[in-house]
Amino acid sequence: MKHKIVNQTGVALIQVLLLVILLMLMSLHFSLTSKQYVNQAISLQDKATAEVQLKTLESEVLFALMTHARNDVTLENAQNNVVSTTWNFYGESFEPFANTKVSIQDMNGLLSVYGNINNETLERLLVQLGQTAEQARQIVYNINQWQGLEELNFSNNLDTQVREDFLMNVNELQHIAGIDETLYKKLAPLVSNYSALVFNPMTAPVELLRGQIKNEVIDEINTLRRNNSLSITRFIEMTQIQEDDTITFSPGSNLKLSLVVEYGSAIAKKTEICVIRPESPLPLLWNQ
Amino acid sequence: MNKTGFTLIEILLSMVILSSVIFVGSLSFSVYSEKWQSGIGDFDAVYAESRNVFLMQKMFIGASNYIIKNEKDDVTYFFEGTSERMVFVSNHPIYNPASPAVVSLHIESNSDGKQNLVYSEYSFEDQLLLHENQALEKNFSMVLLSRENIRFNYFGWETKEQHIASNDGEDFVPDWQKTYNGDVSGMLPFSVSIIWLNSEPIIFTIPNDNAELLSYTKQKRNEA
Repeated sequence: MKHKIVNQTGVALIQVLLLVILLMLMSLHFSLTSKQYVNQAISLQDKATAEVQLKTLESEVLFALMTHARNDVTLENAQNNVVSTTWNFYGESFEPFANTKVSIQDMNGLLSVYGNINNETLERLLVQLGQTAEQARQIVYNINQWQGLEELNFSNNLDTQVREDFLMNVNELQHIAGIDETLYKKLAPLVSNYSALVFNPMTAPVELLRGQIKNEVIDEINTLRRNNSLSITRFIEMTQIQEDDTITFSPGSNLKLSLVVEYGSAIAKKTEICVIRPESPLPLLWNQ
Repeated sequence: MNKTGFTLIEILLSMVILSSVIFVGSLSFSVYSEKWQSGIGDFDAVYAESRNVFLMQKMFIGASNYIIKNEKDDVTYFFEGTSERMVFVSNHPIYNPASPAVVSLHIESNSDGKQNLVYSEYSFEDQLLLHENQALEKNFSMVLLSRENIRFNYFGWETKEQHIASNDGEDFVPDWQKTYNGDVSGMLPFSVSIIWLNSEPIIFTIPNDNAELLSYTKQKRNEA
């Protein structure tokens, strides 16, 4: 009798089991794909939110740059603006709002390779970056030739293609004979392709100040920069550099902005070079 | 023995019932799955296109006020646009954002009546654009969108003379145009729009230097 009952329920059990397996496979398939696509949708939503927040951050930074004095950190501290109280112009990143990072580099703080006005300084910098004096002289010559400032002479290992005009972008240095990838990576963060009548040592990368200033002073400058407390007065005391026709301590109008916003799983970034001229009918230009 | 096993009719009946259940179940599953996959396909398409719009935005934000020499050996901004094609230099190209590149967007017709918005990139990593009509090697190409009747428009000055006259107080304003040329207009457009069928346009702002770099470059060339 017992054996009979087991046999009778067997077929029904197999039917039920098959149905359950079928339903389980269906639900597993739908739930896994749903989860995957919900995650994708969330990441896209995060990306959109991060982009919107990046635009907001850019507006806040540009507004602060156009409405607040940029010439001294002590003055900025008295100003009631979250960006201008934390900013610096030597490319050190600061966080004006949660989950945001901003860095501002004054282009006057970089060594201009526009034209040939800074040839001697550029040669010194190239030697400092590991080139021999002869290599440095040749690279400077090649940069001048690229800009049409020297007669074309393709016998000296130069590529036959030169712009014969000023560099459009620092990336263009990679196309100049003598500048390999290693040298380019060291040189690019220190130079600008823009015409600059003045140099700002207050906002210059410390590599540009080496050779002119003792290493202990450079360490002190680095410490003060990290604390965002480097004032013009303190800088003059430490370096003995004075303002003149070619040296300034005030950030210029040509600035490189790097903005980063993190939101959820998304990161939105933007790097741009702009000219801030609040006194002009066109107060903001993009110089890139 | 007969009482403990199944009769042929019992087995046939159970097989018929089981087959029916499996048939109905698999039919429902395939119908539902088809709808689900169709929904997922739509999702994938929307997701890919949304991602591509972000990439396009980055590319336009990185648009460069790039100067080249034209046929007359005069310096000019590099930006050419028609309703079906635009080409310019971007500092943030899609494929290799580490190096500036000439980027082009153009429209290709499909066999199904739709059009593809095709992106092409000519990186400056191993080459450089110095002259108009210079041939460059293409490094990358992809389809960004597939839609009907895609077209481009440009907001900017029609001619450089109008821009100069406006600076002198005359009554000229920038406007939307179907074609744009950096040489004719003397600067980059202020913005670019992409439209398909009767959709709302997607407008991308172009970082513009108001022709200052070109003016400065010309001045320095004249001094030299």
